[in-house]
Amino acid sequence: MTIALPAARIPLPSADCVEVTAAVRAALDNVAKHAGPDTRVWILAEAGKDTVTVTVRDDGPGIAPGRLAQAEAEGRLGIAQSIRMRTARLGGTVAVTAAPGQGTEIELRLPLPAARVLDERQAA
Amino acid sequence: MNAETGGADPRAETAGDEAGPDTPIRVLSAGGEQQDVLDAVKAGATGYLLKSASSEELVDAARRTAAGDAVFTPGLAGLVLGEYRRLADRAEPEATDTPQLTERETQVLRLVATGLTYRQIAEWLTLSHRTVQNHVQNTLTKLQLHNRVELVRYALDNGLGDAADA
Repeated sequence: MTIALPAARIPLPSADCVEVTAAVRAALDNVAKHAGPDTRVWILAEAGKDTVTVTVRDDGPGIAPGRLAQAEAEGRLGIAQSIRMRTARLGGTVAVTAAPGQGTEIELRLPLPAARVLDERQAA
Repeated sequence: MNAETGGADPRAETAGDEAGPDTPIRVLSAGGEQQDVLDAVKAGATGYLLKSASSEELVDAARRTAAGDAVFTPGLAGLVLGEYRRLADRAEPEATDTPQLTERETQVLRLVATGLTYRQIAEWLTLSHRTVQNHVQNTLTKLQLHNRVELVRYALDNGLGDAADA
């Protein structure tokens, strides 16, 4: 697993950190479950002007088209559910890019201002 | 020149007298301390490798540095992306000399940071391998130029040089 980060820390309220960590863990669990033991994983965290982006990419087998929607339709709490719900709670979005044989990329995008508001509410 | 940085300041190593302006500089970092690596790269290192790098990676990196190519790892791409962001956040609204990434450079750096090889990036973006290398190299060159301007400015501001000589 390779991690790419900025030199400076990315400030996030601790409650957000818990959710982001859980979402990334869910993405990694998914790799462990569906991809082979030789699969490599890269994690990139970036702080934008008003967003934080975390990208988890693997070079595993990818996901067949419709596979995620099918799992969701069958009511299975898979990767999609767990990651989407956690990110939505923070006002963020998730983009999954996966083609068979091309690996899977999961991008979590979180708004920073919303996170700050949340932080102030907690402090109050 | 290779610098083994066991806690030493890699900037000092890259600034050695024996290294001419065209000497390829590589930093072999033991600690991989992020700020140190970033500072070394801004001072002119063309890439860095962690000590855990395999012998094949080391040979490949030496060959590429000698050929004038930056040796980028995903970790370095992440640092460079972060540095451009930090410079943009710090800049005055009317500042024109803040280095910025083009959309294409940002795209290429993000792909390097998530583990794609230059060959894969070239295929993915339908660019030549050489063009991908140039984009990556440019992201470093702009940071290094900016760094030199800042150093000169700092020196002048602190009375370290005569403005007429600069």
